[in-house]
Amino acid sequence: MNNAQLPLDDAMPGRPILARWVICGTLRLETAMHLGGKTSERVDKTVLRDARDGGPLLPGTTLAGALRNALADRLVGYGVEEPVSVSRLFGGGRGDDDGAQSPLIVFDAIGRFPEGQGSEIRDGVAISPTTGTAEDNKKYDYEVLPAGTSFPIRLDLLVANASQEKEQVEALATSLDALSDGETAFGAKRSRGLGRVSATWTARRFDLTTPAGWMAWAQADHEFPHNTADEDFSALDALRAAAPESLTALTVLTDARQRVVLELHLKVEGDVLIRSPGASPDAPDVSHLTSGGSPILSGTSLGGALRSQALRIARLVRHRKGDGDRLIDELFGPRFEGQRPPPGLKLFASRLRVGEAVIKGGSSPRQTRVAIDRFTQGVIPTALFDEQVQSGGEACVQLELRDPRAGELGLLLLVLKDLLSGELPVGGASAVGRGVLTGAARLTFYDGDDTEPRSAIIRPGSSPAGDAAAEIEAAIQQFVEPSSVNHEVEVAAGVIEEGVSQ
Amino acid sequence: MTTQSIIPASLRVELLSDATFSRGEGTAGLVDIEVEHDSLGLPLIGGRTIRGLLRDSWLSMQPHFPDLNDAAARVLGRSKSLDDECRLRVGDAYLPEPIREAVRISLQRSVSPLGPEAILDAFTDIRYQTAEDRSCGAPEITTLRSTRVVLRGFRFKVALTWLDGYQPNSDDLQVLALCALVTRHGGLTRNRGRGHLRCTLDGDLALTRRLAEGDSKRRAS
Repeated sequence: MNNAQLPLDDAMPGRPILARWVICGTLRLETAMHLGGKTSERVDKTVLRDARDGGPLLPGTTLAGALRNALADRLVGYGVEEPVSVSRLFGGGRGDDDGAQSPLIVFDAIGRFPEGQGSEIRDGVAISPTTGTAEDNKKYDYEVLPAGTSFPIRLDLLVANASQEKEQVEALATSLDALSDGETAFGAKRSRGLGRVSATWTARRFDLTTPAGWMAWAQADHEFPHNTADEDFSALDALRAAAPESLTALTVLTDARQRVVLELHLKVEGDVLIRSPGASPDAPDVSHLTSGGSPILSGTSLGGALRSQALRIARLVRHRKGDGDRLIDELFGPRFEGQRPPPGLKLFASRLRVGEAVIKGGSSPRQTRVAIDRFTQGVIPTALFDEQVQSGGEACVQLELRDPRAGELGLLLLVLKDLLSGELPVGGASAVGRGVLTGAARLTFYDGDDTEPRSAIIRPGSSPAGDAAAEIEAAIQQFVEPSSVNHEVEVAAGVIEEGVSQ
Repeated sequence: MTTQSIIPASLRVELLSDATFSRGEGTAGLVDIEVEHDSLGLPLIGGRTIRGLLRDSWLSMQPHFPDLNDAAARVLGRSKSLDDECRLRVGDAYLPEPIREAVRISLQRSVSPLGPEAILDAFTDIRYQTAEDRSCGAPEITTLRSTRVVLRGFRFKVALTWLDGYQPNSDDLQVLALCALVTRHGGLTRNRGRGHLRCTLDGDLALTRRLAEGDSKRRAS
């Protein structure tokens, strides 16, 4: 063979590609989402937008990061260093100079608002746990994409090694499954219910081991290589449908996350008012918060109420050791005074994930109130105002306690008892009786292995029911009994020495 | 239609997503990774980059098209070869001339002339990103970085010149068309949403698809 007949060679040989999977999906926001954009005079934090058309933008970097994290969570559990199999799909990690390029291409997605809707503005404020009033300089507002916003997303998987294809596709199915079932969230405040999504998928596999296969790929449309209009599959089903016979036994990988999922079925007793700014000149002075046109119970409000009550309980129960505040910081994440964290304070996200939910049923009456002069008993001039509250209705909120440590579930159960029995109001105007909720909760325990999850139902005034009912009392005892509380925290803080305590 | 009558004179590179073609340099105080741009402030893509992308595409598919090896050498050249086999010169990718002319006028006008920085800002955006610490779920310190991107929708034109009056045959054009159609990603962060490309010969997708099928060879025979 002379030189002219030799195939091209290169200093860096070309990457062999045996197959190309094209996975398309529709991502739909189940709750509002805030992906941070630029600063603006209009609002403190804007959402990221496509610079050309102004549509909401979900960058491929964000989507890939969320999928990578979701896969690592499922393979090894929350917060644990990711295993090598993750980098085989998502490429070498940051700082890994020997890491390979990712075989997974994740595209940017430009979203569509729900019909007749645009972005929404939400107010945020920090409430002092001591006074119950707003803290100075902690008031801000931020823009969110409403629930119902959809993103057409696409991922391409390049297969270079036939022996790794099944592993890569199953890993991809596992991480996409996290989007399908609504467990992966995007953007800011996702530990407080924002950015929760659901997704449906389609997939097509191009066989690139033949000239015809390459020709089919070359001729395929650049933006929509296969039709996605009429399909509606889970990630695993879509990949199975597109797989060749050699890969038909595809399955999702074992979930290693240790967690307790709590589904709260809440009923609004009377009125609830989570304040939101008025959007039009004739709007009431304050209105109950809505998203996508529906009244909601926001995760930020519920999370704040849970934290405050947990702090009260922890301080009371743990007053001898004086470590109630530290227990709360370990569970909910650290708080700090001022605008920025002090040097040396290590920030971490809350391990208690609090969801956001639509309040179904009920009504939205507009109520007028006025302040009365205590001395004259007459009305105070300019003190007339009106509020549009949410009256009645029901909501199903999901909480997740990740990697529960000793005593934390017991503390959370005591807080829930107060919430479900109507003793812990949520939202504003609680001093005039608003924000009272009642209900029941189902707890599901996941041990991070192949064992079946266990569940229990708790309802104020009755004993826990279900196959995990015995664990409810044990969890509370673990928190209340000082000798068994949070050994790890005490060791870490130097309160006790490892191996000496108990 | 003869082979000669459909020799494409240019390659159109259309940005289907925002893209960052860069040499990795930044602009101090403004952006960590700057895009390549010319003295007018208009973004461009280097010819070597385009050629590298086409070549990379061919290296992946060449085992399946052994009868096009010779043509590939004429179109893409051999690495480390002194034989001067390569007949195709790939130019830099520029925005269309009407846009360039309008920008030149805006820079040179006597009243309120624009500067190249303003032009670059108008054609680009800056993206910010940070990494998250898996162990705690909080942003990882010192990972906030900014990258300029050229806005999606722009179409760059690359001049294709065949050296020494060489007339490409149908095999040459098939290699070129296949490379153009298979080259779909380029630039930094190309696997994470940026740099989604559509490359077509003379900006004609139908023509490029026909040439990729070996259309002219079949017609000639």
